Amino acid sequence: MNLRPVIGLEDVFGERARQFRKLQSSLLDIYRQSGFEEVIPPLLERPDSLNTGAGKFLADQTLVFSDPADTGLLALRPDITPQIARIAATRMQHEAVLKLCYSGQVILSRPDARSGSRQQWQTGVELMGESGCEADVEVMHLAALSLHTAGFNDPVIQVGHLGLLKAIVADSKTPMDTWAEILSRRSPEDMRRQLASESMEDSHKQALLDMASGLADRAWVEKSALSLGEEFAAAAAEVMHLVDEVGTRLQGEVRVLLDAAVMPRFLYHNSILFAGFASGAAQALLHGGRYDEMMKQHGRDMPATGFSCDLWAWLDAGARLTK
Amino acid sequence: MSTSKKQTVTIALSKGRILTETLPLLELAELMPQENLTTTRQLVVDGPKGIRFLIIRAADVCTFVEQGAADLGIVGKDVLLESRPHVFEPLDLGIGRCRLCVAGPKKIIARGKPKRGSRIRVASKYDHLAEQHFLSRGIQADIIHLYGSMELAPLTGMADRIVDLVSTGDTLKANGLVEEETLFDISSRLIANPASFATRRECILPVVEALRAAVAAKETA
Repeated sequence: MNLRPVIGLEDVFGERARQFRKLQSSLLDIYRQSGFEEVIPPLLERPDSLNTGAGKFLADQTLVFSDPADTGLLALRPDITPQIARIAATRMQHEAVLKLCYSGQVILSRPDARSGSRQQWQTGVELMGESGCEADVEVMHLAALSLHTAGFNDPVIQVGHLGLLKAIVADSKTPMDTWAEILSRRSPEDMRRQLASESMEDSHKQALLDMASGLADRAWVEKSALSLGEEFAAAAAEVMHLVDEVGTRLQGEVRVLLDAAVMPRFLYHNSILFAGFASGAAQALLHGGRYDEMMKQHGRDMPATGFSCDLWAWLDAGARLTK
Repeated sequence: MSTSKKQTVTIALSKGRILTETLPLLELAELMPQENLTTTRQLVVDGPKGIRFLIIRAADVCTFVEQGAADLGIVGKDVLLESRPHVFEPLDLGIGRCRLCVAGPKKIIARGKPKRGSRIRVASKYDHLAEQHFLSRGIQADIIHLYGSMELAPLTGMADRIVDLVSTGDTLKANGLVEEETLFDISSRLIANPASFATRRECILPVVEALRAAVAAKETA
């Protein structure tokens, strides 16, 4: 009998288990006090329901096996947000506004980062049925509050908008995920090489180079909105308004920076997106954004926004409860 | 975390050929370390303007930057392609230029490329890149992982081909091997930790820009 642990999976006990439960209950308390109701979806789903609108990236991270009882295929969830989308489109379809929170295990078919684990304890909130800035502000406020509660100092939220990139590369032959991949590495030289075979306008090429060079801040977006077409200008207006609003409302709580090159962790985020960082943490601590498009594909056309984090990663990054 | 730690920018460097080519760039960018990095036995060396250098093995540079132990680092594109760390690559330094190639004994290469569906043995330290390359051409490649002296593998009959870095081609020639195909052009990159870039942009960006100016100055010189 092989009793060795499975690669990338671990058993947690002792102090780490205690720390984990404390962190989890503190975060869920915050969300409940803010009017978010907890949902506990199952560990398994039909693969279709996980992959709807979530793109190939999620499919690539999903463990699928056949169900002996049902002769169909079942999948271990790699992400809870698509499950929340399914619940909103089915069991809760008659409720106009949904404020939901969750905390559960997800399993990735490959580790997310090198030497990383395949198991994450995804914890987050989803706010559905409210469009516009208010909902995003509320979600980002909870994101900042979560970082503070976990004892992370000097939190920073980087806000972007996928519509900016979409508008610039609308006429290009290169697939969207290639552009997203180059921008996620912020490599201007690789961007230049990729652009060499593209026939898009020079102003669009320059915009992509600026984004890859890390120059696409608020001032850049404002200036570019004048020259990169209507679609870009619309996304720019939306994200600038949000950043100004969040910046003012959450002043002293979190630094909010616009960076047009922020890319989503999973490509189902289709417009506003953000990532949260803090001093001393080596990688992004949380990811979030709007996924109205995924809701539509689940059969319920409604605005949706949210964020989530991995509690194991937070403990590894030094999360310490302040209260 | 103290204020001084926040303002320090830590740069991971490795000894060897890349360092020899990096030093002139650091000098042009006015970022010279306070000690001779090629001879010092210290692992941490101070530089100007609150900069601190870590002297580590080339293969560890990615790890230090990805884990946030260093804000910036200098590493070959080959390592980035092979291990795909979560880091930014803000600058191609244009140094350490070479190519990642498939090579093999003259006799074998002369017979032409391996046929679709064939099975070959390939020695490399780039397991992932070598496997991907042959996989995408419908060739089953058994990857034999070696840490160095790849050229020995075909000479001793252990492998049919190697996937390795080639700069002048002299080592290949001296061992009776010839190049078959170039997979990637390689040069050294400045890499950055994404969280440092987000939370301490005002400290990191000036260093990146100083190096960018140095690279441009060197290219026009």
